[in-house]
Parts: sequence; C-alpha cells; structure tokens
Amino acid sequence: MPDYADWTESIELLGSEVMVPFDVQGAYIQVPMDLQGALIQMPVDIQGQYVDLKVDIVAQTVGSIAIDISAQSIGNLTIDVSAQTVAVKTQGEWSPQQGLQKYLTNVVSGLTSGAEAYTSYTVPTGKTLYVTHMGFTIWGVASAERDSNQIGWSRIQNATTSIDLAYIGGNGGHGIAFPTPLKIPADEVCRIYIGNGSDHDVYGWYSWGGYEI
Amino acid sequence: MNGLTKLYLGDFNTMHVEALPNGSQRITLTKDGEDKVYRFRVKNLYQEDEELLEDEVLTVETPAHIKKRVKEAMKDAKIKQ
Repeated sequence: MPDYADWTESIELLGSEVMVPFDVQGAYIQVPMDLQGALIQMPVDIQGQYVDLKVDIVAQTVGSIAIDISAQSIGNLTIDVSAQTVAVKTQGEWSPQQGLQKYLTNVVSGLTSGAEAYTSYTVPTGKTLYVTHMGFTIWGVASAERDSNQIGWSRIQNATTSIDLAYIGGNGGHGIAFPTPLKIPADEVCRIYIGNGSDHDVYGWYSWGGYEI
Repeated sequence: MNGLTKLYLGDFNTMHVEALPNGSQRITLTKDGEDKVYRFRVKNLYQEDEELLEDEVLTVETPAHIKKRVKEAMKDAKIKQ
C-alpha cells in the first residue's frame, strides 16, 4: 500500500435526539466501502431499548449473500426470503450437489460366528469426513440357516484414536442416521466393522455415507 | 491416475470394497461426472507392506439404445435437447 499521510476525521454527534438520514436515490448508485489495512476495526454497536435492524433487498437476481455468524447462542435469527426459487439446504443436502458426497459399501463372505470384519478409509490431508449414516445386513451362508436369527452388529471407529463412535445391532441388519454427523479429521482413519452374533457363518453387507469437505 | 492414488487423495464419491478369501480387497471407486470406474485389488491396505495386485480403469457409458430411447422420448415430449 502506498505511504499516504495519516488522515482522521471524527464525526461525533451529541444530542437528545439525533437523526442522520442517509437517503440516496439515483438511476445508478455505487456506495463502495473498501477497507484495507493491517488492522481494521469496524464495530457496529447498537444499543437501545428497542432496535430494529432491517435489510431489504429487492433485485431481479441476487448473486450471493454470505452471512457468517459465529456465536455460542443466537436467540432468534429470522430470514424471510420471497423469491420464485430459493434453496436453503443443510450441508448434508448441499454436499452431493457439490460432488462432495462419500458412500462406502462393503461385502464380506463367510463371516464366522463371533468374528468381525472391517474396512478402513483414511481421510485425506486437508479434508474432514462427516459420516451421516451407517447400516448393515447379514444373512446365512447356508440356505438352511436363512430362516434362523441373523444377529449382527456394526460399529464405526476412529482407528487412529481407537475410539468407537457409534454402535448398531439387530437381527438381520440395522441402519441409523446421525443428526450430528460423526467427524473424522484429516489423516485419521475411519473404520467400519461388521460382526456376526449368530451361531452360523453369514454374508455381510455394511456401509457408511456422508460428505468430505 | 490409478485407483489407489484416487483413494489416497479422496478423489471419489463411491467406494465399494469386497473382502476376498485370500485376504486381499477388491476396491471399486467412481466419481461424479467421470465416465471411468477405477477397480483395483490390494493387499494390506494402509499397512507398511501394502501391495497393489491388480489395477484397471474401465470406461462406462449409458448403453446406446437407452440414450436413443431417451432422445426419442424427449423429442416426443418436445423437450429441447
């Protein structure tokens, strides 16, 4: 940045009643605000007994509105959108449209009674895996066993930390979705297991799905 | 790029793993927008002695007769192609 002279102009308004209307009308209006500096502080501090903060946007096309709010708690956030088409999606819904979905399916044959099988996936450097659902199904290898109970389980583990993140079990299979996705950080291993709790050998299918960003 | 490289990069959307009796795994990867299927067989995946045993890249395509029928259906419905 060029070495300009310092420049300061304070605007301080004191009064029992202060109004600073800013009304701009024109065929073509630009109000750019471009701030560049090593340190920029631009506090908007609104304190009052009663506050209305209203942003009205009327346009044929709104390209992008990015609002990033980070807070421990937000009391009430109302966004009212009136448009011919609008999409407000969760990350889980949005990710497949961006090609970020991940689905892992696994097949194992002849899993013996009491045994487990597993498949690992290492999350690439710079990415984070979020698992939104998992499931499994098992059935007897021998046709004579297919009317029997097919007790099994599945679990997802962060194999880097050796911490199990979720368990499911059932007769014949089970599936579950996670309202709070399971998170596997970069370079760590997501491992899914399938287990056979039956008294006979089984085939097993087991899977997880989610997205990686 | 082969399938194992794509696996390490996470450059895929679906991954199917078949555990084989000899202890190896046959892995198939696909990615949105690619007409390729990456299929490989690997032993001791992620282990120090990992060994790539087979590696192939297949080109997949919707069969011509189905594409033709879709085209005809769109023509019948007067949908611009």
